Amino acid sequence: MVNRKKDEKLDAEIAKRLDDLFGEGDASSGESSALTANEADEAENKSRDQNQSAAAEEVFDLEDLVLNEKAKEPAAADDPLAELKSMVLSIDWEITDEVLSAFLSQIANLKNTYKNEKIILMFLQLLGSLGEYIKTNRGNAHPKTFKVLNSVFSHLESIVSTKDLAESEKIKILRIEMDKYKQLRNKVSKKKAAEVRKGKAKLLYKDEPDERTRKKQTTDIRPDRDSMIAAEKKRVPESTAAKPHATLAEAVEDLKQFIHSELSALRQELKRIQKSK
Amino acid sequence: MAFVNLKNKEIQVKIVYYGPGRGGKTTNLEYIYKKFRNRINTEMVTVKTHGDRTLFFDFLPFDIGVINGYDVKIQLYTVPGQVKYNATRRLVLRGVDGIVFVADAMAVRREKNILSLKNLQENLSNYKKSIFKIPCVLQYNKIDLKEQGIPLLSTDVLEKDLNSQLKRPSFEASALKGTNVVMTLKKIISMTVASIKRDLK
Amino acid sequence: MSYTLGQKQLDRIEEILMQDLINNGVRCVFLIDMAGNIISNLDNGEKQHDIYSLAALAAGNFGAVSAMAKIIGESEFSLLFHKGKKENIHFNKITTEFLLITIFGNDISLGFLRLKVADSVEQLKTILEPLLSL
Repeated sequence: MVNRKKDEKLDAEIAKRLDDLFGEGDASSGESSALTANEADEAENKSRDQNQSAAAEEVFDLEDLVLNEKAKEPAAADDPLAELKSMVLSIDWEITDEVLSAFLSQIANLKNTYKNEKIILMFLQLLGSLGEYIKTNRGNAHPKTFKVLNSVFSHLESIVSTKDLAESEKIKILRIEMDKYKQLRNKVSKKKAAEVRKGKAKLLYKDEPDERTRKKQTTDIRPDRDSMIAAEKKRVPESTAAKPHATLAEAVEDLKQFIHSELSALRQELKRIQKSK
Repeated sequence: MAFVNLKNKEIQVKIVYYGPGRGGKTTNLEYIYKKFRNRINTEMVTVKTHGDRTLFFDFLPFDIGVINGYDVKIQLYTVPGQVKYNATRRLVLRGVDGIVFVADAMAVRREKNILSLKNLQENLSNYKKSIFKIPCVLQYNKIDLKEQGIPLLSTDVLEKDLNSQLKRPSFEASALKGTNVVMTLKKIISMTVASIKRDLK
Repeated sequence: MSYTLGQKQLDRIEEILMQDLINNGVRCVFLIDMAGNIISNLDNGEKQHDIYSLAALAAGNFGAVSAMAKIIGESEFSLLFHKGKKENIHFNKITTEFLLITIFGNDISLGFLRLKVADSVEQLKTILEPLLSL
């Protein structure tokens, strides 16, 4: 009995509120739904209790948060690659001339900083070469370039940040990255050769769509031989079948020569392509 | 599912206006917004095409004040009615507490009304909700077209087509002129708030 | 707004999308209007999506985000991009009426994709802009 009265009271309250809000003088339709007042009261009590415990929890959480924030502060200052990192991340999101120029400039600075550390210097040269390539080619750069860039950078970062890493380990990592760089270079030359041949044959694009929609396989197009041969002549074999290097210094020197030869081959190719345009 | 904030003592109630394309769902909200702008005091958000068809939803939130210690906030939504926007409709239905089914009383729209209601049932079941349980009001819109001589479905036919099993409150209306727009709204709010109170126990 | 595209124009659109995007590793690309209608759609043959729902939702999403931009006082956002674990979606507006949606994996960097999309958009504009003045 009491419940029904309370229900009706609630309905009336809702109806009155709606009338106040939308008071148009529309005749009320009359029907109202049943509500139990007990349920409403219980809900209110529950919520009051929950409010109190929630408030207590809040205070605790805030203290925790303050402590955590203080702990974060000291870590950020010491990273020498921090600025380069932010540029690499930036390139990942957006490629602009400003970012690329800043990137190359930062590489130059770091080369100075690390002028006595040959391995790091080589990493920086790889990054510089990739940066130049992206800057020159922009949207025409090979899509894999960015993956290689990120990989070279992240390995450089791990070498710089890991204390007491053996030189042999560093060289091992460097060789892996150089392999990736070389593979990219091969892909780039294949792509360019294909484009040049396509341009010469004056093929209409329309004839080719079916082939291209399939998964990309290595094409049967031969890479540009000239620059590759030049690179090959200067190349130092680096597989396990290669003769063992007597000293670490020799190994580093060989790698240095290899990078120089690769870079000059790349430059020659770029010149050739620019001429053919 | 009504959103209850126990800390702020707030309940958010989601009411969706559903129905076939060009049936008058958006017009309902536009009428409410225009008429009660001063009292409601919030903006209406519409995401529509350049051709003025609802693309995503229309949204009109407002406060109806404190009831039983809780600040009750109503959120009115409309869905795009065109068949091709079914995925979008499903999205907007998420968390719905009450439905206004806006049927088009034009005779040529008879089948579209039925298909739309069926579509509503299917989309609700996606969220494990039953059209037979959820608070719902039917509105038979465009009765103003009678005076223009456009053939309309009679209320009997509409009731038989759409409400014979649901047995929900229904109103003849004209969203354009405002006839019974507010009545529909008041009814669905009452029913929905009542249902939420029941569920809250 | 109504517009009509002839076969030649549609072919050219496909050519651009294929050359600039699919051939550069993009999984799926579709050109839609702001109402969610698909004008052109290409994929690399790997996966089939429910492109009709995707198109409707993409248009709705873009519309909703544009409304959000206006609320915070921006005329529009310059980047609308959703990053997934394996698949990502990028949106680009072309004139006031069209959207280019690209779906791509993690083997393409966003920066590179944005360059390619920008190229495509410039070319597509030459086909689509004349339609708006009709």
